[in-house]
Amino acid sequence: MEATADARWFRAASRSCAPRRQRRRLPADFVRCVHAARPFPAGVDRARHRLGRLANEFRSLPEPLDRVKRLLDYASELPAFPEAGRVPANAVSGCTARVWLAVAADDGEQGRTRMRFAADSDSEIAKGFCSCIVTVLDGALPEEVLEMTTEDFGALEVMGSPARAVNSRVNTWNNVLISMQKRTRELMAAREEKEEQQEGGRFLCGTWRRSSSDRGASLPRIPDKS
Amino acid sequence: MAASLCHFPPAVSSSSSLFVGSKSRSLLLAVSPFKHFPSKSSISASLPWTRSYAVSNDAAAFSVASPSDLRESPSLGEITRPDFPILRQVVNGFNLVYFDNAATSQKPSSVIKALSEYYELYNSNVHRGVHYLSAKATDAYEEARNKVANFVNAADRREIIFTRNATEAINLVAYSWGALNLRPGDEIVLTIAEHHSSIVPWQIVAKKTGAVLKYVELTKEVPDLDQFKGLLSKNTKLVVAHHVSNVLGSVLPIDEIVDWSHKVGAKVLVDACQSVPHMVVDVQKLNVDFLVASSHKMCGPTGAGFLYGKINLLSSMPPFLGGGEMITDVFQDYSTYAEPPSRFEAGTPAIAEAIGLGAAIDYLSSIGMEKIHNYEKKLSEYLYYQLSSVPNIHIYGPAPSDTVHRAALCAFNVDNIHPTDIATFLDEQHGVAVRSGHHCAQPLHRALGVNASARASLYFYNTKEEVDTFIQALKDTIEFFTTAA
Repeated sequence: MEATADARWFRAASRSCAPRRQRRRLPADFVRCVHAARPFPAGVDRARHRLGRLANEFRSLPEPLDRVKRLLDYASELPAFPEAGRVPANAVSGCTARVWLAVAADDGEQGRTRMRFAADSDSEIAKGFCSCIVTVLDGALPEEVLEMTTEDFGALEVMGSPARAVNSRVNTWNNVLISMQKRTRELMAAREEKEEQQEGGRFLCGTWRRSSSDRGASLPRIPDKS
Repeated sequence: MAASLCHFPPAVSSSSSLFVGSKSRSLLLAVSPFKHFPSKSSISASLPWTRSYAVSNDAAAFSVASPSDLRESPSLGEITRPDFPILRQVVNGFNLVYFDNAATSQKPSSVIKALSEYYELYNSNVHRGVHYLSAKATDAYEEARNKVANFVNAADRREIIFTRNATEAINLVAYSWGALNLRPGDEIVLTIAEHHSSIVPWQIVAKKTGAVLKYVELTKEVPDLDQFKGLLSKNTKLVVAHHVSNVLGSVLPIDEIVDWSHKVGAKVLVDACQSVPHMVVDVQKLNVDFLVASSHKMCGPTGAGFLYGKINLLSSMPPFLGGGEMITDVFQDYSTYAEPPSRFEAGTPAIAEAIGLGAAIDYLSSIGMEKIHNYEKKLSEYLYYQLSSVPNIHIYGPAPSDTVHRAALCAFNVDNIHPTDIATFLDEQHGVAVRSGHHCAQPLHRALGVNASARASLYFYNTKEEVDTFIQALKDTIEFFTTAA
């Protein structure tokens, strides 16, 4: 599997989650799981909303040990990551555990590009971190991914909180988020370049020829027929 | 394998309040009558342990004595702990158990005071000024060099070069001696168990010079000395070897390695980062050509380390870094260089840090390196055999015995639990600090067939009770992850 995964794989993977373990009985005031489907009002930052709900979920667990157990629950809920995806191009550097991250851009909904993420690790705690970050950012707009910071995840107050040692090379939250953002930028830049090349090709075939002196000038946009 | 562990009491019972589950867990602390460091008479009067028992192959067969039978006098760890303010803190609700000394050691009050006093009383640049403060700073800085020279028994104080750390010291040798002396086809022999700082600089210089790196592999999780002898040839120009492995805990016979290497005309560079802090290291007795160590692993501050090099070698080596201090005269188109050690200490040095290293040497010397080594030998054996009792564990490196000395550190893995999960849980739920990862020894971990390991590394201020706490915490951690799976 190449570094940039086909978005269709993500849709299939999210439907075929890893077998769920028996859920532990949690306190009565436990906040509802963020995986529950809920329509988002227009204009609401989905990623921030999910992060807030995830933070509330962890904060509702008073004991640190319960938060660890919840983190491991999230680890078990991470969809299966194909063996073929465990390639160096998908490895997240810097973590003490091995972490793999697959990234794709999905044009599925209303023509807007959304980022798709899948992750895995050989450490259960790192896997739990990955599951939390993927829960928040999978399906987010590129700009939502790029404006998120490691400190934002400090609100979860779970073991290995990213609020500590943000710049430490072993901070999994930091490493995974930076990797997500870097590859989001790369994907978006590659798409823009491809669109520019396509637009340049269409002009050459039409009445307006693009010369070298016109490069960098603002080109009239051809409406997207799709 | 049966081994006799003399003078060492077995573990306390699991019902002790020292173990996990009780946030009121407290460590036994002897009240130290000493302001800065313990006196030799006090330490010599305290016998480590007096009970002896035989160890069988089954570590679980250890006899368990009652707490009242354990000791007749405070251990070295209990006597020295009060000198280290950082060890008194509570982490995540538990008294800190600091078992990451191979990464860096803690600093006694005397070293912290030496650093403060330098900046409070006589901070000034060294070697150039004629005023009072500069003279005092220069004297203290050079006195620190004398202390390092005496500590490793260097023949000449000029053989001690202050560097930022051991890594910089190795790079100094690589870029100065290596660049001058290595030719295409020349061989550098090093073990697969070397720290990255002993590998990467030689990879870089080998690429520039055309030299070739040859690695000594493992046999039974220690470097294969028979293979090492077989790799030596007239093409071998340099042997790079650790004295004590920061992962395996094994100790190499440096005197023999030097003897074999010199017979083929090769120089020897020894990484003594894990030996100088823990035992007597005599560079003349070992007859090494180069030796490096770091201040921060021997109770000294970070930002300082040293290179020992035989004076005839250093005198023949070109500068590493250029700038002030290392010159004699500077003209527009050329410069002449100072003699060692100044030739290799360009710019304003880490003055406070070197003075702090000197204070650390004073502290260690007041205890006595032999006493430190003897205490840690027993702590090492206790740690190893207690850790061996944990189910599904694999400890890397040799088992300690009467003939095999092992450093007081154990890198290990537990089946089906990632070492990072173990280290994280030990910290968050028990206040126990161990390290997880590759410990700057990735080639070694690949040779061992793993990606990472957890490592507990002790120093003379750690105690048997802390080992007991660590073992119980580890068992609790394993039970948690086993249940969660």
